[in-house]
Amino acid sequence: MSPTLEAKSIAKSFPAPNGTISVLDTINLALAPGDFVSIQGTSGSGKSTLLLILGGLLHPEKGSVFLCGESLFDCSADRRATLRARHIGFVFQRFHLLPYLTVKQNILSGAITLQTAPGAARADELMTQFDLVRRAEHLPGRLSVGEQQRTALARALFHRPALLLADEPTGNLDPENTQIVLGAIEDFVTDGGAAVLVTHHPECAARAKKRFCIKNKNIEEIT
Amino acid sequence: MSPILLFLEELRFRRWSFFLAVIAAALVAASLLGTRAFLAAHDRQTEELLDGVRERAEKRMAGLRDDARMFSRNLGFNILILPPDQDEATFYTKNRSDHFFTAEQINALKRMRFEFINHVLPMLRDTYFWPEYGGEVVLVGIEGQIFIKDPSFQTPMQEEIATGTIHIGSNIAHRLGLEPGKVVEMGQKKFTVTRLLPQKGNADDIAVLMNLADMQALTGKDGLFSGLLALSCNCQVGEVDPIRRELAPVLQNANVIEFSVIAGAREQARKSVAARAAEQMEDLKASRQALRKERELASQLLAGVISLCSLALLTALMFSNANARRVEAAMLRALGIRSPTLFALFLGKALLAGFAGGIFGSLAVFAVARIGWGISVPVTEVQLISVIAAAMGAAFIATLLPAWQTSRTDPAKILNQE
Ligand SMILES: Nc1ncnc2c1ncn2[C@@H]1O[C@H](COP(=O)(O)OP(=O)(O)O)[C@@H](O)[C@H]1O
Ligand SMILES: [Mg+2]
Repeated sequence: MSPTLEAKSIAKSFPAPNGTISVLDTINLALAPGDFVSIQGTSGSGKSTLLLILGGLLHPEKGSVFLCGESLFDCSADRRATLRARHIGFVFQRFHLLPYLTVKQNILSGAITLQTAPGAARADELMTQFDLVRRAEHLPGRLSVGEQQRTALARALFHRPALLLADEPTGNLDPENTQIVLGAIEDFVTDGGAAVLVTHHPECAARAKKRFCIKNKNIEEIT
Repeated sequence: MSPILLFLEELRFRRWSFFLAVIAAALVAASLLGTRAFLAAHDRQTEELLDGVRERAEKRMAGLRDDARMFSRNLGFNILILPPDQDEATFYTKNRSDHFFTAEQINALKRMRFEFINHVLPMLRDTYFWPEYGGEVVLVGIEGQIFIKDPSFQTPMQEEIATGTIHIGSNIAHRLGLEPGKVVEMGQKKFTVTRLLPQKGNADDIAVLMNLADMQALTGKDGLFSGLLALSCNCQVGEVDPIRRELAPVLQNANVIEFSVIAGAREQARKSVAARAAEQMEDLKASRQALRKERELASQLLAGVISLCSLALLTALMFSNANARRVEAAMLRALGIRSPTLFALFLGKALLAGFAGGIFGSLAVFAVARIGWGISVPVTEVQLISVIAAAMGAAFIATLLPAWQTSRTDPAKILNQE
């Protein structure tokens, strides 16, 4: 079975006042369907940077990323956007819901650029799964933090992506919602998805099948 | 969920900032179109002022005509109408006629309506050797005058002279020591003097005015008339043709003689009023033109300032909108929306605001011009479209930079920062 995601020799540095700082160096990571990987690390270690590179939103200096067999950074920006829209779902710590769309519309926006998108029934199914039915017509501003993150997760899962990239999705949540989110990711993986969970909570990271840690620009598996 | 729905929902969500943008664009359109409306109102006002001057001049000229008529009335008749064959030399030097109008002609005349003459007085003129006077006097027989056209001249210029009474010229009165009430004898008939005529310095001073019938009996010229005295109306100097034409059905080829001194005075007065009015209108036109230039410059300046302020407001609004949407834009990029699409979403909103503003601004100017100034703004379709295009252009320019910045911003930076 071909891997969902394959990152090879990723290196990234950022310009700094005195020269550049290297954040990541020679990172290798591969995920097959059904893989659930967590990435830990201290603040500023480069977890988000790696996640954005894996999602094709940030160019690495070196190395390449293959998403469902296609190289993300050897194609046009349009193609990359298409691949991202089709195969990846993103969840962020700050949710980033569109403030002017209702819960249901936000979920539907998960497939905004896709030619063949799932129908409203899929949105209804996710709203039922995440207990959002009563909130379907509400704007994000009126939701609790947990409801917002559940909406964001539903949006990320709406188009049935192959890969879920979650950057500290539980960072702002209470224990109950944390469990809901982690449970949903586990369900997603069980159904054949691949997930990368960035977190600095060891308990959350422990839910993943494989645990990694970024340390000194490198990624190490925690065994 | 389509980008169009996204666009509309965003518009609805941030409707007040959109409304402000529409207002700012409307100000651009209104200031541009308002200049035209303002100048049109000015032109309209100028027309009204000129009309006022014209009207006043016409009134003054009408008044002057009345004055001239009163004046010429005081001077006396200004038209003498003689039979076609009457030799003027004989009439003037001998003070008598050898050709006459007939009673039938005069009676026919009485039944007519006239446009160009007033106070027509049929008369018989002849000389008479009056032994008491010691020489010839001029006899003038008159009937009650006819054909009073203008109601403002209802009082006759020459009152009727009752039979058996006479008015006498100053020279006769002086030589014979006559005064009103005295009785004189002419051709074995007694006449009572009822009036002394004022001294004139011409043949009138040796004239005896009497009732026409008395005179016709005295001179044996029954049913004959030397001519008519009349007062012309409104004719130009030297233009007696209308009078001649008017008389033609009854008095074919009558000799119409105008006393030009009187008519000339009237004409001159009229001309000077017309000239003064024209001068005044020229002055007014010149000063209005100067004012128009000033107003044009001022309103264009104002329009420029308003447009610039609106552009600044639009730019501020668009920057704040773009700023509020930075995270959203980054998220949309993460969802697969391409940077040009994002750019188009921003520009589309600006163009829509500009279009709506252009329409509203124009409508507002039309409404103000119609309701406030009572004018319609003189604007062609092309100009109207340009005004709306200008409003759209302002919104477009204002959005260009913020939209470009936002759509270009690296989504990774924002999604990681926030
Ligand atoms: N766009 C950027 N420009 C410059 N430096 C950046 C940028 N993004 C991240 N960094 C730096 O890279 C390092 C890793 O950041 P990040 O991946 O956000 O860390 P983490 O998510 O692990 O907390 C930090 O030192 C951060 O300051
Ligand atoms: Mg981070």
